[in-house]
Amino acid sequence: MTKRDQLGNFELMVMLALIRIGDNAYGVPICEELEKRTARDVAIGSVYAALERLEDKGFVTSELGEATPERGGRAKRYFRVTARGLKEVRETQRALVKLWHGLPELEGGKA
Amino acid sequence: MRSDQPPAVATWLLKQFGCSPQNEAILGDLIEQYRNGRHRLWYWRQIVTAIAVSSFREVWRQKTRTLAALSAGWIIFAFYRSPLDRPLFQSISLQINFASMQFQIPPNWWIYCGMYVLLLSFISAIMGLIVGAFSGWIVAKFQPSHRVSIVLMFVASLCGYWLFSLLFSILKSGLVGVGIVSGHEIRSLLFLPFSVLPWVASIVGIFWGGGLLEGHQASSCT
Repeated sequence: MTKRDQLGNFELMVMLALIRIGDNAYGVPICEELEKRTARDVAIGSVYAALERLEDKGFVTSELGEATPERGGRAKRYFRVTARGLKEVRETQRALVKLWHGLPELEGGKA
Repeated sequence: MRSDQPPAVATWLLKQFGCSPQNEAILGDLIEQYRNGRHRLWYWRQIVTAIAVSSFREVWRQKTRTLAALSAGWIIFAFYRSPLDRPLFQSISLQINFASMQFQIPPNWWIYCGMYVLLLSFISAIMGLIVGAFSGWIVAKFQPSHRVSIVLMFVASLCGYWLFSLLFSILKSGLVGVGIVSGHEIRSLLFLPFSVLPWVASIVGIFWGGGLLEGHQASSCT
């Protein structure tokens, strides 16, 4: 696996949000999920930039959905995690858990 | 009562300068969230971020060409000797003093000084427009398929330089650095907007020369 194919911090968060949302994953619910879970403001431009990178890497696919009047007649773009993307998330999780394990400074939830 | 329509200028800016292939989806998401109660400022902030992120992503993919294009644009501006390449406000305060000496006008006869400043600003603005258009055209020629992001980056670099030189001028010379002539404080302030004219004209020129004021820009982005 090349460095380019690895998941960045924000990309990993977006992937987890996509997995959590499931079939209805387009820009608005993805941003809401990220804001709810991280308690931070999320720029939709940054989310789409991450999604484009993930699509280039083959971790995500997308398709155009229906256009609705509340969106000014613009179509939604739905995103879905691929099998390769899911495998990559699992590998990243495994690596992070190994790194986390046995660090007394990070136990107990206090920094 | 708040309008159901999001800020039209912000929407236009994203349509015109946004480089993401997902521009329409981004706009749809933003409009949906705005209609669900988001603030106008939130909408503006999202638009500016979306343009900046997509432009930066484009130029990052073409680092060498971007560097070459920016260098070419900067060389053109470096040859353009005008108030623009000096701390502008400082140079205008110097010009007021020069006008006073040159035309034997008493320094407190501010209206003549003011007319001189206006004339200079107007001439500088026309020069700025021409030089800006030429540099914008050259910069865009380096990568016509990515001209929006490259021209935006060029404008951002020039604005950064002007801002830096202005702050440097204020730190170095205090109020004189922003053209506040001693004894003419209020009158000097009245002329400040005109002294910004050459800057604005240069930026408009760059956009014009770079082809960014034409119709929808989606074709000039990947």
